[in-house]
Parts: sequence; structure tokens; C-alpha cells
Amino acid sequence: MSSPFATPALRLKNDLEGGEDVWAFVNRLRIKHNAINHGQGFPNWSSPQFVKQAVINAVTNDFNQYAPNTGLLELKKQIAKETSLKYGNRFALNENNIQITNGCAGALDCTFRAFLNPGDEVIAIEPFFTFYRTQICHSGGVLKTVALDLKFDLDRNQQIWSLDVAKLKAAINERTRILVLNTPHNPTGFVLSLHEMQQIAQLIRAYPKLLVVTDEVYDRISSVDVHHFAALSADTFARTIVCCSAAKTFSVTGWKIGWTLGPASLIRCINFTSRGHSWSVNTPCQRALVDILRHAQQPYQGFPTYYAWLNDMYSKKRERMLSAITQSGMSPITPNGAYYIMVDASKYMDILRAQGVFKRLNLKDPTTYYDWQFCAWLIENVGVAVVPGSAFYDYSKFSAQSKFKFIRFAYCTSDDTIAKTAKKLKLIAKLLQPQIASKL
Amino acid sequence: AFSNDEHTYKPASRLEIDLTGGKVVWEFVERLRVKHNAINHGKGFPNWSAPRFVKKAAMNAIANDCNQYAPSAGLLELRQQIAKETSIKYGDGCTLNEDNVQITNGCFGGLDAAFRAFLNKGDEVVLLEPFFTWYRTQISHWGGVIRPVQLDLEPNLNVWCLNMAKLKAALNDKTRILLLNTPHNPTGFVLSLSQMREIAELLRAFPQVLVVTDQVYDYISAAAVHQFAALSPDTFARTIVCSSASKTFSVTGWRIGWVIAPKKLIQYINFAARASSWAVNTPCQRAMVDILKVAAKPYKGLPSYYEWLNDMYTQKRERIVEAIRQCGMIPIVPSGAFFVMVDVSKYIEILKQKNVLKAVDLADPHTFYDWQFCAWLMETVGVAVIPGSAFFDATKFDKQSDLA
Repeated sequence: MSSPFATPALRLKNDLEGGEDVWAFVNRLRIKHNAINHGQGFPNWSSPQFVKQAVINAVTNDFNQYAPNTGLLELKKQIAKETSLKYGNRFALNENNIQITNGCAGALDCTFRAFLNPGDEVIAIEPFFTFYRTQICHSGGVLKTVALDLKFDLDRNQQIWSLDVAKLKAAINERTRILVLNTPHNPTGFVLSLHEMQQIAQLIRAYPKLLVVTDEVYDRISSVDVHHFAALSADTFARTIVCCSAAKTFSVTGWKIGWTLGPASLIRCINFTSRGHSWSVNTPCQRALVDILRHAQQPYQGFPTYYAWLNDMYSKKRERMLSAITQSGMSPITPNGAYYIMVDASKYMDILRAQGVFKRLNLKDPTTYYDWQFCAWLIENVGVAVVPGSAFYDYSKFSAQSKFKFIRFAYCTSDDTIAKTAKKLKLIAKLLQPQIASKL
Repeated sequence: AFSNDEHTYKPASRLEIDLTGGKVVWEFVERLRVKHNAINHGKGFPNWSAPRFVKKAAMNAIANDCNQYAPSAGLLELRQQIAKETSIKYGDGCTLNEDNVQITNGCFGGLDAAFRAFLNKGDEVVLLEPFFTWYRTQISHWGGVIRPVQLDLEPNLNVWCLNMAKLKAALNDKTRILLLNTPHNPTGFVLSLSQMREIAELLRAFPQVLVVTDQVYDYISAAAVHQFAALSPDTFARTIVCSSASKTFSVTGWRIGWVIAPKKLIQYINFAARASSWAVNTPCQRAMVDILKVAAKPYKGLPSYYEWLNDMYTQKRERIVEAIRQCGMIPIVPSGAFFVMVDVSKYIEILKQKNVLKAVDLADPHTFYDWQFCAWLMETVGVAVIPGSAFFDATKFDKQSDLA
């Protein structure tokens, strides 16, 4: 029996239920079998030299004491300036529109903490970044999801992710306090179109209590135009909090330098929660980011800017990864942005089930979900680690009829790694469908 | 057209503390300090460079590509290093490992994680007063209510002391956490071993109370510093120790802290910490591994860096206390940390008689005498300090308050 002092707060209930954490599950097996890491979303190459040099300079030049709790002034000014430009100079942003946070994860958590009262609903598009759920729960909110659909695109002759705005409309009600829009989207790579954003802006006019929170952490990685909900109009700007970070853009996921951007009155509330959490954010990395942002605007490795170079690099990796997956006999759903691919591996899951390799499904134990079991099999037999797709869904909706079709590949890996993975993935067909393997 | 009206603007009710707290003392001091270019004896961070070996460790970590996500519990080697050093510190065959450690965004982040992990709405947190102002904000955000226990000034000895009967009276069945900051900010008071034992004994009657210690000034003390968690298996089982690199290594801006506790409690702290930012800055975590190893070795002629640090601060403490005495004010000599509370009532009286000070309006902290004196000090003398009343529970102030 647990001691009375050891009882956790009620807000941790989400952390306590749900069985083994998916990240721990994948990492444990990946390390055990020394599998190639296509699971967690961070690059396996060095951060760019100019990025590393900037923080080395900051440490040397004694930027090691407390930054202001709103964030380093020069950094806020730089972000405000660049964002004003990004938004077509229709908004005059300044340092009061920015709060520096512990990464984009910190930005989201501070936003939920600043605005959610117990019982408030938060709508997120499903599948969703797993941590939204916990963060929302800690601040008393209730997560409601609107699932993306798979539809067949005749132009591209393939399945694509699609948002049915009518579903979104049906989910919003008087209790909705926040609508989270993660675009480009993790884990699907879906990117909200301008038209979809305009439709959303229109339908939330009837809900003056609703705040939009955008997670734009992948906004520099996309093969289609990336639009900014906050920039649509003065109305959307007034009710949107933009969350972003340096992590994915500059390959420094470990620095934890992010920001929220929005109207000064809303940002002030986020300052309260940000300073309440950790007082201030790492100083040398904030200082470094000022130089990094300036540098990134200039020509880089033959491209007009670092951002153009980054996007080109990822688009090439996307193609290589898609090819590797297709050649293995699995069905990737082509993403437009971010650096993940959701892959339909149900064909192989069905084979393994038919062969009696899989344990029986027990809804109370996520390690028995078919995609989790397939990931374990993939790590052990093929040597490639990915994340089960169901981890990004609302498990309270799962049933015996659930399909558990998807696995998520991260392709923020070196070309070398992708090439090695391509070879290994060919093993799947050999192992499970030898009669077809030779034809692939 | 839709406008940014009070609907979307309305923050969560947990922010009431931030909205009703009035003008924050830090902004008040900072504004005037900058205006008058006053010497900064207000905020708690060093105005010298961090030691060379500390900076070098960070630069190495960056150059060696420690720039991607650390695990949410914190870098394994750092947790192991801290566990090892703490085991030695606690003695008695104590064997801690990485499962007893969570890395956090500074000690501040560790405390916040503890409140987030354990406070339900209405739970009380007993703490020593005066107190670090931000405890109250954090506790409020997570639904808790503070229950301050005021330190007394022993007038003859001119020291701070803790009346254990007062502490006992504050504990009740709504108490969820007892927060012990020792060495103490702002007084420099250090809990003695016998006081810790008395507290441990008191708590036996309150099985639902967790002890959370803020030990961020552990290495800066003229008096012996004791570890509440190490008193006995019973105290270890119910104690959450929070500390950080900030004050010890003069890197207040790095935001590297840690929580040490029994494995079961650390699990909950991990849930809270990972939700707040997933992970903590990686290169600075990596640097800390090297820094901790170097710090244990001889440094600048002293047996370890920690000895050197404490010796340095001891000398500074003596100098500042002397400087304060020489200008006619009364320092309450601290044992630890790097702050000194000073009785300036004599000069406040003089300024009152000269009609320099406005009348006190309890609704406006700017009118409290110590705030006014600080403003006068910055403007007329060019030295910035913090008004002591800011570290007390303002809701308890009345006209008779000794706001000096």
C-alpha cells in the first residue's frame, strides 16, 4: 500500500493510465537490438557550424546569467522583426508580442497553463503529438479530437490526408476554449491549405471564447506553401497564439529555445506561466539564436537562404525515404511537410497475425496493439525502429475492431542512414512474402 | 468584426495571483536601478564571469554535438553523477542511482514540478517567512495555498530564529507540503541538525505531508549544512530535494537543476517535468557532468572548488556586513546564501520626520516604507537593494507592520 504522502495530484491521472509509455517502449527495444533509429524526431547529424559557433561565442562572452523572464530583448526583437516580414508587413510586431519559452513544448504547456480552466475543451486534429494530451490534462482541460481522413487524390493518384472542416465544426461548442492547429503536422505531414484556414477562421467567429493555438515547429519544412493562421486577418491575429522553436529548423532539438507570439495582452498571460515554471530560459542559447537568425537570412551553401537549403535537403530525404518504404511493400501516405511519414503496414501485420506470431489484442495493454507488436517485430527482425501510429490517437476510442494500421517513420536522418534502412526494409518482404519479394 | 475582447483575453483562474499581486517588486527595483544607474545589490546573480572550467565544459559539449534531445528524465551520466555524489554526501551506506534523480529547468523548475506533481486544489504548503516570492506564484498556479511560518528576530543576538511551536501550529490535515529553504533566501538562516530532527518528529503525526527542500545555496554557508533527506529512512522516504548548478557554479542563466527523491516520487516528478518542456537543455546538462567532476578536485589552493566558493562568499559576506554597519544600518548577519537582511528603521524614521516619505496605503506596495526607502537609496545614494516586505505575505500587513 502506498504511503499517503506519495499520492500524486489528480492532474497526473492521464500519466498513470495508458500502460507503458510508447517512447520508452520503442527506445528500450531499439537499444536492445541496436536498431536504426527512425523513431524519435531529432536529426542524427551535427548541427550546422554557424549554429554551434554562435552558442560557443555566447558562453565565452559571459551570457551565462539570468535572462529577463520574458526572454532576451534582442531575441524577441529579432523574432518580431522577422515575423512581421513573414506576415507581409501587415502587423507591426515588437518585443511585447513575444515570450521566449523552453522549446515549443514549453510554449504549448505555458499556453495551456495560462488559459485553461478545469473542464475547458481543447480540440486537436488527430493523429496528434502525444504530449498535447498530458499537458492539457495537467491544466484541467479535456482533449477532444477531430480525425484526419484518408482520401484518394485523383490528381496525384494516391491516398492523402485530408481534413473535413464539417467534422471540425461539429466538434466545436460552448465549452471549447482552445483549438490547436499543428501545421505542418506531426505525425502525418499534412499541411493546412489557405482555403482550409479561411474556412476555420470563418466558423470560429461564432465562438468568441475560443483561442487558436498554432504549433508551427515544422514551418520551414514543407513541399507546399505554409500559411500562417495568425496572419490571415486582424481578427485571427487577435485570437491566435503561435508556438514555434529553433529545434527542428536549426537541428538543435536539445537546446529548448522556443517562443509564443501573439497579441501583447495574451502574451502577458503566457509570461506569467512561463516565469512561474522556470523563471527564465537558457541564456547562452537565446543569445546564440539572435546571431543564428541573422545568419540564416543570408545565402547558404548555394541557396538564397539557410531556410531554402534546409527545405531542399529535407525534400530530397523525403523522396529517398518514400522510395525505401514503397520498395519494401508497405504503403506510405505521402506527407507535404514536417519530417515524418505515416505508413500503412497492415498488409504485413495481417500476415504476422495469420502466422500466429502476434499476441492477442488486449485493449488495456498497448504493447498488444498490432502496430506496437509490428514495431517490436520490425526492430527485432529487420533492425529498424519506428513508432506505432496508434500512439498518436485517442486510445479511449479504440475497440476490438480498431485497425492499428500505421507506423511512423522519421526521416530526419543522414542519407547514409536512409540508404542502410532501405536495404533492411527489403528484408520484410523476404521474411513475410517470399513469393512476392523477388518481384518488388 | 470580431475584436480582441475580454472573452479570449481572459486568462485561467490560476493566474489570479499574477493579476492581483500588484506591481511586482522586481520590476519596481529594476526600473529605478536602470534610471539612476545604481549599483545592483538587488537581483541574485553574480556580476563576474562563470569560472573558466565551467564555460569550457559547455563549449566542449556543443562542439561534441550534444545538441539533440536528452531523455525526459535527464542525461543518464548527469543523473548518475548526481546520484553518486549525493550517496556520498548522505553517507550511511546510502546508494542512490539514476532513478532517484530528475533533471529540471533550474531549481525553480524542480520546485514547480514538485507542486505540479503533488498539489491538489486547496492543499496547504507550509513555508518559512520571509520567503522567495515566486514560491507563492508556483504554489497558486497548481491550486495550493501558502501557510507561512514567520521567522523571529532574536533582538539581543540579532539573528533569525525558528519557533518550532509556530511551525507545529501551522501543520494540519490540509497540509500537503512542508517547504524548507535552507540556507534561506532572503535571511541566510540555516536550519540546524537539531531543528531538522524536531521537524522530522513533528511530521510523524502528519503522514500526508511531503517535505520539499530548496537547497540551491547548499554550498554557501558559514554554518554546517545538513541534509533533511539523510536524517533517516523515514525522512528520505518523504523528502523531495531540489537544487541546481546556478548559484554554485555562477551560471544562473543555464537553467540546469535537479530533484533527488525516492524512485516512486521521482516518477511523478518526471511526469510533471516532461509535460512542462519534454526535456532540459542538453549541452548544459552534458557540461555539468564534467563540471561536477572537476569541482570535486583541488581548486585554486583549496581542497575542492566548493571550499573555494564558500571561502570567497564568506569574505564577501564579511565585507558587505561591515560596509552596512559603517553606514549606520543594522545587518542581521546571515549564516548562508548570499543575501543579508538589513534593519534600516532608523533612517526610515529620519526620512519620515523630514516628510520625504508618503503615507502608507496598504493597497499600494510602492508606499510601504521599505519600498520608499529603496527608491530613495537608488536615487540619492546609487545603490539598489530589494525591500524586505516583498518576501512576506502582504495580505497580512496592517498599519502596525514593521515594514523596515
